[in-house]
Formats: sequence, structure tokens, C-alpha cells
Amino acid sequence: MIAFEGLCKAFDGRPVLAGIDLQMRGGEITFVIGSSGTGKSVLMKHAVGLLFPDAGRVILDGEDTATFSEDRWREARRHYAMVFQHPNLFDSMTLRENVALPLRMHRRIARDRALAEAESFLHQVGMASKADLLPAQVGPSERKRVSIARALTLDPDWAILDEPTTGLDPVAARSIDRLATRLCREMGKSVVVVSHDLTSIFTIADRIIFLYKGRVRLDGAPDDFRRSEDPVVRQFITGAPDGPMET
Amino acid sequence: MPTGSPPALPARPIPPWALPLALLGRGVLRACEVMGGMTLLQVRILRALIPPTFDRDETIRQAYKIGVQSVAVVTLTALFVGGLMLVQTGPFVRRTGATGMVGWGTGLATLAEVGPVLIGLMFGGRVGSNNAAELGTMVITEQVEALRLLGIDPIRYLVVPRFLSMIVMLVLLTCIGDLAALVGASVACQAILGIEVRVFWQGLIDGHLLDEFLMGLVKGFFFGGAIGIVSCHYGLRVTGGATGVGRAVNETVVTSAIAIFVVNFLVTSLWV
Repeated sequence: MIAFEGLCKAFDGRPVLAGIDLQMRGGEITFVIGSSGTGKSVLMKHAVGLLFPDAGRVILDGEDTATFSEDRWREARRHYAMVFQHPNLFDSMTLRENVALPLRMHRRIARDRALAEAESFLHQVGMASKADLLPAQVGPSERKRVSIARALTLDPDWAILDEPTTGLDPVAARSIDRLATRLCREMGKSVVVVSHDLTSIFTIADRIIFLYKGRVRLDGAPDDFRRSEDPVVRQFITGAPDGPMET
Repeated sequence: MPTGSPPALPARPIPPWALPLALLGRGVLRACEVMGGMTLLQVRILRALIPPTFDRDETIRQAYKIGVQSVAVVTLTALFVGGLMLVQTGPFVRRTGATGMVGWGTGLATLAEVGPVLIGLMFGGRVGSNNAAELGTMVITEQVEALRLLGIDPIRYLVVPRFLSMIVMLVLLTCIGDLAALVGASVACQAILGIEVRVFWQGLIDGHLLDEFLMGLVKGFFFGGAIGIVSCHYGLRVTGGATGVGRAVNETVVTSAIAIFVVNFLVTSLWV
């Protein structure tokens, strides 16, 4: 379980998170949504120790992360895998080598064996046929798939996907949605998706957390979100340029 | 234990009379920050080395990239530097007739000072800047954060292999450069002064310059370590996109050059 208690974070004096109280349960697809700059990615970066709170607590499986050393964080990140919006693959390595890297580093297996095992992870995301290409030789959605495959090598309990469909065409975006669904329903991972892609949200989400001005504005099922009378939520859904929402 | 960032202090205007003092203070703070950062990096490298927990494959890849691909440029530079030394000393040797001293004199200067320092500077310019740019680009494209997310320590995976490769390869390149410089000098000796190559090498051998040769290698060892620390420090601290990478490269080249001259002075002082 990931829990945030009174989480506050500011950058250069500008508050981004202003007291987030939230619990994320395992075994479901949770969407963290909101307009740009509302702190969605900032929130999830706290869950993997890439950012640290100015105030409040982050609790992972009942453990307060304030006491975590960098070594303890490294261990925790193997259970809470995060995939960034920009699939930051290592550009000097082939896709296969990218996926093999964590296998080599964590399981201390020989390079050849790691490369062979990497293929099965690439197969899971439908990228086995392009294993020996460099990241620059494949498209953005394919790079995202490979970065998900690379995260899966850690066999994490949680997969946190930061804006996985942003910048993709609708077909590629839906294939990422399908992959996220498979991660949860078939592979048993708890999935958190940071997004503002309404199609994804209404297609695959089990739970939606809507952030606005650094706080949780709505926390519920997709139907709660769809039927919400909150004018800010309504404006987000309709995409109307005029309304109460400050952008 | 990680903590949140401290609240920013409100900026206060500095009165004109205090401006020089403020600039001095800012410079001192900046220097302390850089030195502190580099010291911390060294401690983290040492932690990764005892017991050794770095990536062997990456170390070999870096050693090839850093060392093997520098051989041609180092050899070519050293050949001409060796030749140039003879061009400079030629008139003096002609005037004094001290032909038997040419090999010894050139060897002394090359092995103890000119060889390691010039090769170090060349190495800092070529390898150090490249390393800072590569690490800096990895930082701004979030590849370093990706490593951390994969539970891989960037110090162990990125920094230690580069640091070790730079030390080992600069020592080896110093050997190669020394040899190339002496070959260049001996050829120039024959061409400019008409002194046989054999006489040049005999003078060199009779000079018993093993001590100077070893001092040059020790310098190469420390130069490699200094360039490794400086380039990794600036590379990993890049902020601000492409401009930041350019700034890191510039700072790496300047700081490496300063470090080389400081280390050179210290090693020579302690050795002699």
C-alpha cells in the first residue's frame, strides 16, 4: 500500500502539493489525474524517493520512508517501479541490452544469459522482434513499451506509469492501455497511471484520484467522476476553456 | 535521512560598498561547494570499491572508449612534442657540442614533466569533456534517474567504471606517449642535428631515468583520478538543459587543467 499523509511540497516557494492525504490500495488500476502542473508526477515521485516531502509523510507498506537510507530506497524501488513520461532508455544500448541491464545488475547473471532472458520480457510487451534495434530506431510508443518491459524485470508489486499515453496517436495509446490492463489483471501488479487522457481514464481505471491546486479534489470510481457535479471536475471532463478551473 | 528543501531566503539588496565582499564570499562559497561535492564523490567511489561492487562489462567498455580510442591522438601529439623539444634545444646543443647529453636531457624532460603533463591535458580535453557531456546529457534526459528507479546505483554503474578506466588508461597512455615523444625526438635529432638515433638512445639509457619514468607514471595515475572526479562531478550536477551541459564541459576542461598543474607540483615536490 502507498499512503501519503499531509504531504506538502513547494518548488522555489511555489506550493505544488498542499497537504495530500491519500491511500492507494493494491490490486487495482488507479489513475492520478488533473490538469498540467497540479503535481501528479511530483506526488508519485515521492513514492519512489526521487523527491522528498517538505512536510508530511510517505508510507510504503506500513513503513515511514522518512527513515529510509539511499540503500533502503534502492531496495524499495524494486517493488515500486516507475516508468517516466519520456521513456529514458539508454541510447547507446540496444533495446535488448536496456532490458538486460537490471537483470545483470540485480541477479548477477552472465551477460549472455541476461540478454537471452531480456527477450522474454520484450515478448511480454510485444517488442521481441525489434530487440536488437537502438532506441532511436523505434517509435515513441515502442520505447514506452520497452521501458515498461525494463521495469518488469524487477518483478515489482507496483507499476507506476507517468503519462504513458501522452504524445501517442490514439491507436498506440490504446495499446498502452491494454498493456496496463494486462499488468494488473494478468500479471497481478498494482498499477498507478498518472494521466489526463480521458479515454484511458474511462476505459481502464478502477479508481480515480483528481488533484487540483495541490489537494485531492475527488477520489472515487470512474462513475463517481463521470457523475460529479463539482464544476472544476465538470470543466476538466468537458475541456471547456472557460470555467472555475485555474490553469 | 532525506529531508525537504529548505525555504528560500528572501533576496536582500547588497549596498555598493559591500559588493566586492559579496562577490568574494560568493566565490569562496562556490569553491567550497565544488570541493565538498568532489570530496563526497570520492568517498562514494571508495565505498563502491571496498568491496568492489561495480560493473565489469561497463568498465571494459569505458576502458576501450577512453583508452584505446585515445591512442592515435596521444601518439601523434607526443611525436611532434618530442620533435619540437629537439628543435628548441638543437641550437644550444650545436653551440656547446654536448651531443651526448641530448638523449638524457630530452628523456629527463619528457619522462618527468612534459610527457605526463601534456598527455594529461590532452586527456582532460578529450576524455574529461566527453565524459562530462555524456553524464550531463544522461542527467537532463533522466537516464540517471531511470537507473535509480531500477535500483541501480549511478555511482557504481556510471562513475566507478569511468574513474577506474581513466586512471588505468592514463597511466598506459603516459607510457605510450613517452615512447612516442622519445621516438619523435630521436628522429628529429638525426634530421636536425645529424646525431645518430643510436647515440640519442644510448644517452637516454646511460642517463638512468627509471626514477623519472616512474614519477611520470605516478603523475598519470593521479591526473587520471583528478580528471575522473572533476568530469563526473560536473557531469552529474548538470542543470538547465543544453546550456548546462556546455557549462559542465567548460568547467571540466578548466578545472581539470588546474588540477593537473596542482597535482604535478605536489607529486614533483614530494618525489624530488
